[in-house]
Amino acid sequence: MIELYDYELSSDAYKARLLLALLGVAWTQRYVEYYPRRQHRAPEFLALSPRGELPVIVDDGTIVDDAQNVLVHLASRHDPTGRWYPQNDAGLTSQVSTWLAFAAALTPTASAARLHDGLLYHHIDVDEARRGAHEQLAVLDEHLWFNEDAGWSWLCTVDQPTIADIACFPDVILAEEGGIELRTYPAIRRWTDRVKAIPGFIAMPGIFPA
Amino acid sequence: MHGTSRWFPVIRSEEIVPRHIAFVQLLDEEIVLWRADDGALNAWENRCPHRGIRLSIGTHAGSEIVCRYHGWRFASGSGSCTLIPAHPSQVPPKAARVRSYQIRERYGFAWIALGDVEGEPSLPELDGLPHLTLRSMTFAAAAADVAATLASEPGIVVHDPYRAVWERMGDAAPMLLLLQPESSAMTTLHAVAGNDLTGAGRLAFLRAHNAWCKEIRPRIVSEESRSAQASR
Repeated sequence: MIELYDYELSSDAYKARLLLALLGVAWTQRYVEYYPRRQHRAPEFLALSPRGELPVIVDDGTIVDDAQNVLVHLASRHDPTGRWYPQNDAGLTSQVSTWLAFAAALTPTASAARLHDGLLYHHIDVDEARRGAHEQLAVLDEHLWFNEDAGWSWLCTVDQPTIADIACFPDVILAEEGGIELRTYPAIRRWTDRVKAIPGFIAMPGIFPA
Repeated sequence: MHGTSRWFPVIRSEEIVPRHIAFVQLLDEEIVLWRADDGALNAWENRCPHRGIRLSIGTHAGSEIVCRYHGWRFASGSGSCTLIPAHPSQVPPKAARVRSYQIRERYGFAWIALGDVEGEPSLPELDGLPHLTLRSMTFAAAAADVAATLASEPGIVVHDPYRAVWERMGDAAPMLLLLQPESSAMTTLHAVAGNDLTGAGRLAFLRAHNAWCKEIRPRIVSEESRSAQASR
């Protein structure tokens, strides 16, 4: 059984919900009120995961934290096709790792700008967060543009989406909630359309379904 | 801002992919571009005539755009409302119509004119040549500031505020650099070359142009700092 420590508005928790939906795996919600009660920093939650961040899953007794690592775990253990986290091609596995790291790096930039605008995190330097996000989005748009030109629809050079796409999608598409417009990143806008069209896709508040 | 009586390229044609609502800006006007399933290309004001919601967050339903807010549907071609879901048996009022812009497809780009314009989009330097469009790049600068930087590059001749020709050494075909003024502070640079490179040569050409666009980015400065430099 999978328990997911979850919060509706968390872009990181949504990564787990989205992959679980795409895998068609059943799960149980353990709701953590991130805002305003900050239950992710309460002793009971810290006892489970000392890092105090969402999401965390408990999968048959195994505790897994870190949003990207949760995706790795879920795909490794619950995807019999192996397509979401390809591990039989070292070059491809390495590409996935690169974009998982890229996704994590969106936390202090695009995600922080959204927390500033939406959840009253006013101690965040939002100009710096937006500037950093634009630098990253420029890198992402360029990567996706050249991938498209070569006939690839996804972040990695494989003909189906991977956990790299699932990891990057939430903070990228929610960036607009942090005052970061996606209009000047046309390849990113096309890629977000493709992600929304994956069979089994689910949305979250702030993300419109296809 | 002037420029309403001319054609501007706003996006490469091939980037207006099936069932996608592309989103551009020209002279402060937000515009959505979408291709109906029958191939007809539409350029519309990014605004639902009902409650003003952006159509860029709507959905592409094949021959109509559906507004995200109340589900009003607007038809390819006319922009007229075809269905108001709250009143399905009522004929939508004539005023329920999205504003559309003149659009053409030439030289591998979609071109828009916001106002009255004479003639068609024209790049005489490329007539009779193949067209290879390159990756477009947006700069946080006025068109005049981008043009000034282009003019300082060896081999580039700026013909008018929005158009430059790059005669490249060792390259038989010219490259056209076309500026799309998004606002007084943002400009997109489009590029099309008169060659028909393929394979690795084409990719190297695309990559080199992309790298050059990133290289000139820090050199683009405002008119104020240019004149301060000149008077020093």
